[in-house]
Amino acid sequence: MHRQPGKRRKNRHSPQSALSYEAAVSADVIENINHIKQILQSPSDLTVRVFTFGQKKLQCGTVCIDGLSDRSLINDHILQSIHRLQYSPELVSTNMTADEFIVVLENEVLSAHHIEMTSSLDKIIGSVLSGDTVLFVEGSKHALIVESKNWPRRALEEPSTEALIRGPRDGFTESIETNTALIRRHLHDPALRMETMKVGNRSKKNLVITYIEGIVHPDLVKEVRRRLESFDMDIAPESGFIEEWIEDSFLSPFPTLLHTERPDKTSAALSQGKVAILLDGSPFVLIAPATFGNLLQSPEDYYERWMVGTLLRILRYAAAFCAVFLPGLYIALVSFHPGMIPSKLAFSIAATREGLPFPAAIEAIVMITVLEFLREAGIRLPKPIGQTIGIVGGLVIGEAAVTAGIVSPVMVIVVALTAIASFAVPAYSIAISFRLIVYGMMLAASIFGLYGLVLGYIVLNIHLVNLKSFGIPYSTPFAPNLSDDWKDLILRAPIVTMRKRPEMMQTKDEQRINNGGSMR
Amino acid sequence: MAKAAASMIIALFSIFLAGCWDRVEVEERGFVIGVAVDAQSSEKDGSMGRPFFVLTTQLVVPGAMSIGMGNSEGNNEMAKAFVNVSATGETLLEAHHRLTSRFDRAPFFPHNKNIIISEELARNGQFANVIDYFIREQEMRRKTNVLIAKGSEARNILDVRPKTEMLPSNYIDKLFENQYLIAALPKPLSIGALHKKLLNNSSFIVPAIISSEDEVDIASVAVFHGKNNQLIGYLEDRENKGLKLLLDKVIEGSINIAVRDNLIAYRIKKASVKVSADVSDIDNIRFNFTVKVEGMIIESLETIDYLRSNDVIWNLEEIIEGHIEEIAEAAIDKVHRQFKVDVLELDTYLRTRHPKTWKLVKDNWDHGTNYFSKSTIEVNADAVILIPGAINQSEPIQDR
Repeated sequence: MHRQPGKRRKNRHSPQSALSYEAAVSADVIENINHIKQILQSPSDLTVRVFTFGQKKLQCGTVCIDGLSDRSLINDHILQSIHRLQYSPELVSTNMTADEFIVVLENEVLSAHHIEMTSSLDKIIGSVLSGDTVLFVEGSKHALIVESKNWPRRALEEPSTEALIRGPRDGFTESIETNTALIRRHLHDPALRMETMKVGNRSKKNLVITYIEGIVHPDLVKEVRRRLESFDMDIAPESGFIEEWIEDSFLSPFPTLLHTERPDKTSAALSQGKVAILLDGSPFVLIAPATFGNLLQSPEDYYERWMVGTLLRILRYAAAFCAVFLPGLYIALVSFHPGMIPSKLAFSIAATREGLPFPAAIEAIVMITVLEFLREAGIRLPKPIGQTIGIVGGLVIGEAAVTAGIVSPVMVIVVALTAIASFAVPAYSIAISFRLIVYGMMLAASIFGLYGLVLGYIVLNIHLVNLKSFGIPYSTPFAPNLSDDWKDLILRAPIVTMRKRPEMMQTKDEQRINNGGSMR
Repeated sequence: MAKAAASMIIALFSIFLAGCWDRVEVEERGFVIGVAVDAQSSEKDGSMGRPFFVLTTQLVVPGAMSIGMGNSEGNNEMAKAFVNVSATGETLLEAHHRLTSRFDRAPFFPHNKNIIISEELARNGQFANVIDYFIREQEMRRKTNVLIAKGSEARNILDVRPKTEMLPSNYIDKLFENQYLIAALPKPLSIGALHKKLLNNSSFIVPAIISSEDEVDIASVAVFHGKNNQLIGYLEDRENKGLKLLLDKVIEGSINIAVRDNLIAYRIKKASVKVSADVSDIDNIRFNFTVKVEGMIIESLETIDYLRSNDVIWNLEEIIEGHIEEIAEAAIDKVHRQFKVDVLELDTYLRTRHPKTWKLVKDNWDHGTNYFSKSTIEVNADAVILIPGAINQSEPIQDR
């Protein structure tokens, strides 16, 4: 089911008046500057410099936002270049019109690497707000936008949410230029395409769709583009906003887009025929489509040798199962089917539960909730006191609750195992959804026992096979069984045997090995 | 809107009201790990002269288990981690339900290891009636073992206080795991397997158990007649060993053989049995058992140079063969000539190998005309000594 944004737009009242300025550049510099000041309400960081040029005292003005633009670039390459021009009369004749002068400036004087001539005040304001400098010249109805973006940027750091033992250490940053560069560093492919869009009526951020032409299925790009064009929002502070707008089902707990901080993971996904969506200001790149199998993969599976990779994959599937079903299974076995526990274990569980006030179900739900508190608190706490949460959580809650006879030690083990298992899931987005589903499973188990758990499992599977991500069934290659893709699913076959790109992506260029390059 | 909300509430109620109906927390269950059934002659009126069953259940007290483990150094006596609770009833279910009026935790049977039935019940033909409850009730497991309390009340067996295990029934269960060490140990009989025997009207053997204060012994078996499911007698140590050999159930075991005036212990590592039958005359069917054993000398009280020549080993093998035939004969003598019931599983053999003959004899196999007792059973043994142990001799050979 695809959203139909056209219908929704019909009744929308237009906020356009507040957001775009139809006015054109006037010939008067001061008027232009005042116009800008008026629109922006003279913010304190708006820097205006008005100066005159030559004997004719031609009035010029630059406008930029302090902090977003490179001061030294403005000084050295705009202001100084123009001043020096006075000493090279061969370039400027005295009877030049302002329009001719501005062309000379653009072509021969200003030594910035990107200059654009425009007459739209709307565009000028957008550029100024994104860090460029605008140059007005008296008498010309055009202005020059000189690129001078420079703001404090974070250096490349190791991605903290996706740390690896072995693998590249660089991660995406908040700057989209850096991020596209990082992808290009991994893929020197001339067929790598990057399409820029603006998103957000107010934020007007840059968004880049990137893919490799010749590999990706053209319909996928079309669909991504269509969805990105269809939505309409105010601001986009994070790629999570984009994800929620373009995902297939916002009612599903499962993420249908993958997000990553790793350029290597992104470039690998591109080479599998996927599309990456980059948003300025977010270090998280979205990869579409994503299947359930994708979310349990980590780049390290490929960087280590294949046997190790296979072991890690199997462990991860087991961990995913534990993260979802372990507390439910415990409740079901302890409260409904103690006959299924080995005798001695049953007796020792019964011994530890002797005299406890709450049934296993309540105990489990409370303990899992406490665990969620701990996780949440652990993220919020400032780093220096972060250790406190470990001591408080581990010792006080775990140890004291057991000695006080409120919680059984086996329950503490089960909760701890569940937590560890959910941390072993590589994609944080699906780990969170597991944390959500675990409640459903506990509830099912506490009402119907193992029967309820099985029902929950079936419901979960029905949901998974119904879910699609950009037209690709979420459960591929399990449910539409694509036998070739099983090589890279629960097992990670040796790289030499994975000769073809994933069948589910229906790539135009199937061969991955012995292909003589990606261009046909 | 209100309609949708109402249907939602009804849907929710249907889940929450229907749910949790058999939820019993693990600590609220009375784990039964052993059951003993005795007979009690009816004294009260109105019971139509039928005997009462006395159902004794061994229930685990999990709390005491962890305490007992904790301060085991302080007192040699382990904390009692079980209680035996008895109740009487005309049916076992009645007894079971009466039990719950005296014990707060509802008896929970899936962890039951043993059902011990008194000799009295087994002798007066109530055996199958007792077993019926334990097969029919859904909560019971077919893996539970059945034992006969030889010469005593079954509930006394559950009172044994073993030194190693906290739970007597567990201790009895574990004894069966020593199959690898002792040839005379009967194979455990699960009620599932027993059910099959009862349905087939086959005669069968049930491990028998005797107890003293802090230990039990299960080195004998009770023989049951397949027709009326009554206990007829016991096979003791030696006969039991022979029977187990003939049934091809020996995994490992030892045999003492006399050489000159001293003994040598032979350890069976592998035993197999081949049965053949000559069914030309149904009034005298001739069965032939060929028992093949492989093993080694483990203990040699007589000093022999085993490696002197092949003859030494061959002579010994012959003695072993004679000995095995002797043991097997002892078993055959008891079941074939004395009890006249077929617990050698020859009925199964005939049914599968000679179905035509079986059709003629099956209604009078080990009862009535009793073709079984008319048959002839021969045993041949074939023994192999694989090695004379790890050494040849432990002391120099004395001059003779």
